[in-house]
Amino acid sequence: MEILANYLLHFCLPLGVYAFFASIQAGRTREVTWFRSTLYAQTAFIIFVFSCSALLVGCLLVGKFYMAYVYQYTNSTMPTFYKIAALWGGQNGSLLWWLTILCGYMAVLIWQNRHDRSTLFPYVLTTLSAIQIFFVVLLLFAANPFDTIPYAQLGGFEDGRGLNPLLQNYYMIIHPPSLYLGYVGMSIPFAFGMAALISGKLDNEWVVKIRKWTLTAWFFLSIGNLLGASWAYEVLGWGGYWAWDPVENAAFMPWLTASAFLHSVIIQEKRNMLKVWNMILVLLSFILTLTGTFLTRSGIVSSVHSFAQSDIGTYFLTFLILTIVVSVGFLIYRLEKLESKNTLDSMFSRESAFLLNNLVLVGAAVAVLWGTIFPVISEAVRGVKISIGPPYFNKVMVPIGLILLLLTGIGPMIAWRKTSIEQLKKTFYWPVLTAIAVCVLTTVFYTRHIAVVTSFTFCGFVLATIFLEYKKGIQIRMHALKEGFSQALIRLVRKNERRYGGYIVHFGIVLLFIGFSGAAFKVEKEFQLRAGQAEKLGKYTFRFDEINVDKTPHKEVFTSKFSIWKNDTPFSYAYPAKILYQSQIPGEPPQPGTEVFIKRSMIEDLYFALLSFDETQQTIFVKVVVNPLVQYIWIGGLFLILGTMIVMWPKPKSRKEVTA
Amino acid sequence: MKAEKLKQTKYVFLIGFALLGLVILLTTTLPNSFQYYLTVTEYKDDFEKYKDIEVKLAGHVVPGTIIEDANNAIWKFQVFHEDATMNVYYQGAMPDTFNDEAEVVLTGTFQDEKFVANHVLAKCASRYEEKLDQPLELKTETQN
Repeated sequence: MEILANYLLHFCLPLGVYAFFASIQAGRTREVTWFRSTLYAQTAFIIFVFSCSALLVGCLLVGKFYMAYVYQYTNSTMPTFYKIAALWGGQNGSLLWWLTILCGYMAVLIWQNRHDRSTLFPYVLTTLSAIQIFFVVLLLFAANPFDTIPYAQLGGFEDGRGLNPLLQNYYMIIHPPSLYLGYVGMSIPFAFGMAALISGKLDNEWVVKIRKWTLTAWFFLSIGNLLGASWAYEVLGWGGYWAWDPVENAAFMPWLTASAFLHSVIIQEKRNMLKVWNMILVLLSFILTLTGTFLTRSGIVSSVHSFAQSDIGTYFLTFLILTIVVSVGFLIYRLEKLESKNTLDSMFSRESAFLLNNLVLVGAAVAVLWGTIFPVISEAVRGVKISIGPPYFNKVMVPIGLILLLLTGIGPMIAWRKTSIEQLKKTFYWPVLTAIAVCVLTTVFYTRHIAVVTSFTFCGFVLATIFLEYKKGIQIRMHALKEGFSQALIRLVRKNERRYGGYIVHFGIVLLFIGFSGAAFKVEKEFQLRAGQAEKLGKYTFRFDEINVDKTPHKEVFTSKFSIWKNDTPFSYAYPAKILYQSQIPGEPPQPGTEVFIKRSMIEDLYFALLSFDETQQTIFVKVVVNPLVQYIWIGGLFLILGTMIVMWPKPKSRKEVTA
Repeated sequence: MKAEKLKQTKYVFLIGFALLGLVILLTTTLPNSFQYYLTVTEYKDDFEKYKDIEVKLAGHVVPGTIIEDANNAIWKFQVFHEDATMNVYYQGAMPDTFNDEAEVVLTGTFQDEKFVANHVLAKCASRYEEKLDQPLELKTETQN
């Protein structure tokens, strides 16, 4: 299997190179034969890559432990779906997975555009072919997942090391694929942007074509980030969900620039403005995915997630520099042609609000990038290695986030081109009143923490604007079309998915901010307890009752039991546990794992993590965390996903034709 | 034409102020938010400079040196980088990926002849790939 896969991978290189040059010819000459030839080469390439991935999965399932990758990430006792997940569990496999997703996107793209005879599409394929070539080179010369272990045939290697037990979690099955779908998805808008620059066809066609692709990538990046946060919270993070680790930042930066693009593209569509800016955002989003990948895979930035130092950093850096040089070069070359004749009419216009929102989003991306790469710059310039931790990111991102939150409410409410002061007063009367009420209530009854009060105030403001927008739309339908409330609501959203789906996304963002605000009141403490001993944290009293062990051939589970009282009233029980996974390799020590216990509620989560224990003496060391409002993050995430799905929902054909 | 120019100048100012605000925010926040990140070798080479400040210390756990007091969640172990080693004391939550030879980053200060860590970070399990050549070869020998 691995020999066949290796052959297929080798064949991909000439195919990719051929598709690259053939697509340039197709773009230059506009001859159908060159275009078809490119499509045939690409089809073969895509089939070969899919086959390689399928063969690697086959090797993982069958257990070909003489292959280095299979040996490292599977063993005979692992459940089947974790064996499949091992495809993206390690460096080499994840790169093949990256290429596979790119090919998957390209298959859809090629199918959709197979009859496209515009000058744009061949150059889209040129750009994507270049990315494919890079990944094939990487796989062939630096990170081949089909490599075998030379001495394996001599004996041994009957079984593999297996995917680390800590990763044998359902998040491993869904989180990395979502992130990769987001990362790789940024390639398609980038390819269209480059195609527009290369071909000089800089009207709005490319922008219209990439809106859904960008939204798709953004959608998966959002899911990936949320799942990562949830995984950290439930399994790995000791009660935290975001640590500003370079890998997290790598996924967050393109999310920010793609968010900016999704807003500013509306201005290009409506007013034919910000064409240079949009092009920069599209190029930047892809460049940031490469930068993040380079930083974390090269090992030059210290990260909890970092891969082992390897040669692929050099490959990524070369490709990154090449991408920046080529894209910036073409951008400068086409700058004059990209400039828009329209200008902003007023500071009080939707365009201005969106522009400000864009500046803040890109500013946020710059702030995160700066914090992430500053250690590298410091080492290169001053020879001093430093580490930038969460305090920097929290201090910088709190004000930036709050401004963004406020703009979430302002932007959609202002009219295009110009809004008079009178209109502004009328539009924002109720939202401002709501914000003031929330501010007063929060200060009097909840907290005087300035960032939290500001956050809640702005949340109130944005919620009021969303409510008013829905109310206005529903009332108009109810009066004009004599529809009932629910019918009006559903039709309102269905007739204008982009606008009202967008408001649901904004509602999700508000809930996320409520959840983030709760972090200001997080309380945590570690306790050493004997059986029967009780302690207090906030309004909770908890007593350690006992610890029990459950042994199976593959693991030992030590489960502790706690009785909990809230305000001295019996409340619940908690069962945090420690697991020792036996290694399949003789002589290797067991791998410990922590199974936290979370008592969730809309007010606050009560979080227990068993740190260590002495079973014979019935003593334990436990970490207890009171995490206010965390649930709003996950609910907000669900609304964000729901809203995006509404925005992405395909329009009925007849309406498509009309709008086209 | 003049009015148009005035309008554009307003936007340049708006963007300028936004950029200025960002630069001020970044430059004022950064100096108070960083820690030196040193390998055990670098820490020991310039010990006088770093001994009284909180730093991040990177190294690998010396195999066989981990002593755990489970009752009190106290950990004593040594970390090494090249030829330099350091005794470490830590009390608190230990990542599950912590074990012999694990790559760790410790945050803490030097006290009473040892590095007292207040936070231990061990490489995420997903990424602790080893260089294949040597460990696998050794394992083959032991299995044979």
